[in-house]
Amino acid sequence: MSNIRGKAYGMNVITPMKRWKTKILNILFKVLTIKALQKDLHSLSFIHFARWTVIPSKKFPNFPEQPTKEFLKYDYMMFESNFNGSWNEYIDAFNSVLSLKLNLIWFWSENYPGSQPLTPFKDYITHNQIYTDYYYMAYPGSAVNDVKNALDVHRSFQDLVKLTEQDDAQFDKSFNKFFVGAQNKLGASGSLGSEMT
Amino acid sequence: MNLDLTDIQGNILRAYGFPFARYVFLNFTSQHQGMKFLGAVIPHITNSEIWLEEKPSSTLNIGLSRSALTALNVPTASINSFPVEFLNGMADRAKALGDVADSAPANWDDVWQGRVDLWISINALTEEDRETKFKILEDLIAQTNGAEILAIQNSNALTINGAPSKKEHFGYSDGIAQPDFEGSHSVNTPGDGEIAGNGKWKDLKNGEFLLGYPNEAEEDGNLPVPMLLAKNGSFMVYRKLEQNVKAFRDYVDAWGERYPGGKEKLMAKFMGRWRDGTPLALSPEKMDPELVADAQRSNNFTYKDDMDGAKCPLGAHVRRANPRDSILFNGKLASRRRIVRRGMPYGNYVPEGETVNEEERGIIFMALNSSISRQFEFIQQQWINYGNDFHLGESSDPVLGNRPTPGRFVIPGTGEDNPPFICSDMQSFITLKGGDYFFIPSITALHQLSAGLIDPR
Amino acid sequence: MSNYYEKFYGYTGFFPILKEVREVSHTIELRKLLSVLPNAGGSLFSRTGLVHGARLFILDDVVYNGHPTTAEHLEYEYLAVSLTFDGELEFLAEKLAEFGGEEFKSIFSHCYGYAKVELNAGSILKFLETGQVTTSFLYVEADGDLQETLRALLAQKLITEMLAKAQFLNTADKRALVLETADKIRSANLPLAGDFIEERN
Repeated sequence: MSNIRGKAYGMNVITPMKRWKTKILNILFKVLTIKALQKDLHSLSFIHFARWTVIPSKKFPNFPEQPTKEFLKYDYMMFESNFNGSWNEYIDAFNSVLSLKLNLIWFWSENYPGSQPLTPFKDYITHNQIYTDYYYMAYPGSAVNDVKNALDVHRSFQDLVKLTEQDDAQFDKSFNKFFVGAQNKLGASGSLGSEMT
Repeated sequence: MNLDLTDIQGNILRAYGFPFARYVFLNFTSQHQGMKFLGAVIPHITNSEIWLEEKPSSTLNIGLSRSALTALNVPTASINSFPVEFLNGMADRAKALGDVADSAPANWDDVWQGRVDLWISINALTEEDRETKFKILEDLIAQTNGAEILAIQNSNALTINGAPSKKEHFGYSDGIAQPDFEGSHSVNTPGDGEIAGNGKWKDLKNGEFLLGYPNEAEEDGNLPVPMLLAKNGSFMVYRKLEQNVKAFRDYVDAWGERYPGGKEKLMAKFMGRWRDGTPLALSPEKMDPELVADAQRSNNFTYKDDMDGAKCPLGAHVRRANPRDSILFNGKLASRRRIVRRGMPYGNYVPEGETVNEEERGIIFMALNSSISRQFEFIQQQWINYGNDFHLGESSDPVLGNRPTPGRFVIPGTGEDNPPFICSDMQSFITLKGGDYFFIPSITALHQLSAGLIDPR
Repeated sequence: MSNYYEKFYGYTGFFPILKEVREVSHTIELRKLLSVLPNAGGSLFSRTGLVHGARLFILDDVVYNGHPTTAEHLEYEYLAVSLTFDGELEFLAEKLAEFGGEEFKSIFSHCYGYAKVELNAGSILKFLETGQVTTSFLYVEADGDLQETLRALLAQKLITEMLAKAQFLNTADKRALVLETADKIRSANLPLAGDFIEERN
């Protein structure tokens, strides 16, 4: 399945927007939504990276060799996400805890049913989802939590190594401090993992 | 909340709590005789009515797999409206559920190597009562010639020191926490429902466990069609989990010596409760029988003061199976992942210190939920056999996890006086011997099925 | 600048696919190619040493959402390219020029504008910029660049093994084990970007 690469699911959703609504969305991206949304995304901790891109109707990329240009009525918003877990878990979480903030972003897309109730929201996403043809992930066996944990543990360990000159009593303390700091960040990763339903 | 208790099969809203059970697996012999058999069984099926005076001496309930619906010639459009996981059956989901290696379907008991239409369950106060009820079932089979018995599985509360107990084979007290939902018969027990803020709890929505009612996503969609077939029904997951008592005891003996807290505490850290049921979250240093006996307190905890797992490890069984606010957002992400558990042990208990013989023993795990994929399968796949939501990577539940490659279990500490401890070389202690997914229809739906009245539109 | 998130760059591009009369359309060929293009260690994006994730998909038309929207259609089909990588677009262009080789050509030769592209950083950069659409909001959760991330993942495994042993050791032995592990981490060969890690030994 090309939407999945190891522990990551790649979702692309493209939805139409009336041009005047894009202006509002762009303001929202710049101002309100970002800080609050980032905090929640950080708590959910299942997205490696995500982006929203608006392709204005008159600004589809154009090469001189093309005989004609695109001429469209709607702007198009692309949402692209790389997350861990199943598609269902992902959308469920959005619906459970992110619904208001998501509404702020998708409200401007045509025929968006709202992020609650759940089923019409899932149908909307499915309907507008474009399947990935080629998916590359640099560390496919690792979920984003694995990556964050690994970075933390490695950085703390490098600090510990600097302290190996300490006397026994001091080093014991330092070692213990390191152990406690790392204790919940030691999960294995790197393999394919089980199928996601 | 006015539920028609005469329409909902028993053991969903409230556990029977009988010490003996028998699970009978059958196939219909033909469509018409099968319908006759079903019609004959219906008057014997126990519903959810509250027993005001005495408990009956035995109960009878029935579940249908996908092949049962096909055998009864239920219209295709109706069958196809059932959830995919139910249609494909549990064996088909093996890779997703981690039922691999020794637990793979190829290694399951014989009965699961072929089609199984029906699960009929008898619960009884005594072994004699169980036989009496079973005889009634055998008579119905003989009269109608509508079903044939494929296999029988007995289960029973474990007798320990001469008395029936609530323990399972590894020695843990089981069945303490069950979800509180609007229709369940238990009085709102703190901790059983979902977190409501300010130390309070509220009931889960009926739709999480019963079809045809609003669920936690505030819809009652995705039901099998027609509504009369779905409403007041539920889905049941049946799994026969063989317990390797010798391996478990050997492991906790060896590592209990290495672990500074000792063997009993080590076992508590695996489960998230001491073996008597005391939750680590409330009493991390010792068992507390008074606490366990007090239903208002024994399950009344959250993890917000224990986010590092120093009291109850992040990977402990009860924390994996029901993370509460461990996964943030005040537990909201967990409120749609609850299951009602109605299982029971099978086989004879081996007293501690005695040699474990080769007899079969384990637990018949049964879970009830309105969506197998969103509830049971999710827990099994994401929380039991994987640990990403707890930031624990490729790790699995110490007691239930399937580990073809041995794994580790980390017991978090707090500092020099209480350092962390890592258990390694942990193999699987459980092997899945078989099971499947069953639809538990309402009495109305059973009548419709037995009379061939299912019309999809 | 919304193409950036801290040290990361989010490149989004749409490349119109050539419309020519031929036996098999460019779109079909491209789709077939993408379905078999290697994506493990040593593949195109792996070789750049910069890319965390790459996504290519073909947008053959926009989706119609029904009344009251009006149905409309794209004049061209597009190859959508979404890349998350370390640093600046210029660096990526350099790496693609150096390591992209035949694969880069095999993909983009189905798109307008590629015929004029030469295999040097400047030319590739210009090509990427012409196809680029500005990202509105990029979000990246973890903060390590690619090399640091790969080494950290390797280190995590070795550190866990170390801790499992060290908990039973005296201080002197702990100290020695820490130093030994640090050495192992430093000198280990990094796994190739894009690969799964073989099972724990």
